[in-house]
Amino acid sequence: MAYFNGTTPTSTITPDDPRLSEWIDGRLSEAEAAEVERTVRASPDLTQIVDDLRAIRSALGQLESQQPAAGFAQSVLNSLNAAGNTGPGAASNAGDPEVKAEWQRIETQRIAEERAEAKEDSQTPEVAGQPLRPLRMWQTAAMAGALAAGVLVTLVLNRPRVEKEGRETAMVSPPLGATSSLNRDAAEKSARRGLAEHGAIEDANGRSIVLITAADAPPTGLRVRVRLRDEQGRQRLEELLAASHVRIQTDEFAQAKSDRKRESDEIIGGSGTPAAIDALLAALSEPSDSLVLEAVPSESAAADADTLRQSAGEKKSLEKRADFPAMDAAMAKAADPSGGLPPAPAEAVPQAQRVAAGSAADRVVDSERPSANAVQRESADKRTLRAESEMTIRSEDSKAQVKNAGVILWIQIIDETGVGAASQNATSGQ
Amino acid sequence: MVNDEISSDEKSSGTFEGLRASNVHMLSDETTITASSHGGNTIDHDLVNQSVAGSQAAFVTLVKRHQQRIHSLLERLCGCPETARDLAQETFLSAFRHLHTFEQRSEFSTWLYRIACNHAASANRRRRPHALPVAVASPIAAGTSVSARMEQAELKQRLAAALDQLDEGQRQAVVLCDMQGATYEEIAETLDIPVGTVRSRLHRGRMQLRQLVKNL
Repeated sequence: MAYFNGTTPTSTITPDDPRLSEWIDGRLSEAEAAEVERTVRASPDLTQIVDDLRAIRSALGQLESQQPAAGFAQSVLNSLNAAGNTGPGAASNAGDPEVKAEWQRIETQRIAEERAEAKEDSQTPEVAGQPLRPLRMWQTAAMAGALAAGVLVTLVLNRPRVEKEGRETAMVSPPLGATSSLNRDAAEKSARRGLAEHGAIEDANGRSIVLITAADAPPTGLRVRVRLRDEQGRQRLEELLAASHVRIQTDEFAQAKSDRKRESDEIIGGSGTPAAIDALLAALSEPSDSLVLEAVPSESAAADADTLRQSAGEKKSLEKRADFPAMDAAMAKAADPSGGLPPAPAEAVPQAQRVAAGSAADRVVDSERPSANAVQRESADKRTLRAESEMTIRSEDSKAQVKNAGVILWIQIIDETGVGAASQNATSGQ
Repeated sequence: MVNDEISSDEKSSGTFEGLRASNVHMLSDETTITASSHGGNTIDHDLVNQSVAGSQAAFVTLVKRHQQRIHSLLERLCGCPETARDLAQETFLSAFRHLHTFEQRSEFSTWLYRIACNHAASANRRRRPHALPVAVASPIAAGTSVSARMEQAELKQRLAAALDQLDEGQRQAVVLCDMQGATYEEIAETLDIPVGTVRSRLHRGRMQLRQLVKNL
């Protein structure tokens, strides 16, 4: 038998013996390891080989690999959706005539929708006789909507917008002042594009999918917002939190539960392992009519909370200050045969909104100068309308309170040794 | 004991060990499992179940949990970051399409690694049908120490190049063990080969690497 470079012929271990690697990997029993160690120590060549193998093993472990691209998971999902794979096993069913027919139906519908959308786009202005590209048209529409927001504050525009059934909006707060469904959709799409950069995307059905995982969390902890659309959303959140391995600060959670009617976002502190957090996020991302998971794309948690509180508070106060006085003014003017315009409570309405509200009321008055009988009938109609409108607004206002209720989950990431728990305790009290 | 000299910081993140650690975290309140133990990967299995039920969000979470490990594995198996990126995408797409066939008898990561290894092997067959046989390497010069030369940074590059010249089976065993931190049993399950074959492939692969590094 040929031995490597003078290894003792009496040795039972050759350089090709896999036990050398097993010894390095610590897989041998004590007796086997002792035998290998004794043989290796007795042979300079085997000692050299073992040293080399150990160095190779170490160096291999230190070889660096490139990190996957930031949008890798999204690209996988896009590929799946582009290929029409709506679920595992879709490919294996591709030859099924029923599946094929269903897929063709969906594809036909998608093409029809795209054509309709393109037709709608074509109604927007052209520059120098050249039709704008679709993306540019959306941008133009979004800009027009944003510009209009600063000028046109009407009764309708400031009311809480009721979202389409079954469609989950991923925006943290809806943009004010979208003047048409076209512009509003454009603004929504723009907001979603922005949100996509912060870790959320949409699936093929337009539902938001939060891509955030524990691996994305900054040192201060992972923060996500759970928007609760109704009481079932609250219940579902509590159930998911209870079922998860994420540890919630019980005192704070109890306080949050007792304070359900507050308009600003609650903050629920907790801690958990990356795996537990990922599982919770996946469960929260499940399509639901009562609960939506959103990204919180900000730098500091305190700023997040302040911003969200301020945003919610401003939005509500704006609705109350602008909507009701403006409606009062419009209704009073409409009911007044003389067309007199009762002064709106100026101190409560910002200048721009006051102008807009006045203009709206003026338009109602100026557009028609009815006769006395007509005025009486219309007055009754308007009173009914006003009562119905107020009821609608109050109802929507109440719904908006529930719909806008949000919970910031602020979860500190820990390992099995409990590292991070201390900082979590420090932060959760904020 | 010499084995004790192998420090834990030699292991890179995003490996089998990292995955095992996350499972230990998850189960730490309920049961104790050893670092090399199989099973207990309930988070992945839950996510698989949710994905099979139609949740794309769950599948996205699965992708994010494993993308780094799969990228790293494929880059080392193929020796090319761009190819690795494409293969990683193919791996996850294949996994999604066949997720309903995953019977959860093994860990999801092992199943995923098997898909990745198969994709890498196919790509390597297409890419380098005439790879240089390792046997042509010349004998090691006497008295030359690999460990001494490992101090040089360029040696890592040599190692990466040498890895590219290994036989496919040996490369898989070496990469899975020394770079991904997989146990022999996990490698056997991933590659669907006996543990004895893993032992021999791994040792032969390391010995070939030693020879190649000295010759490059």
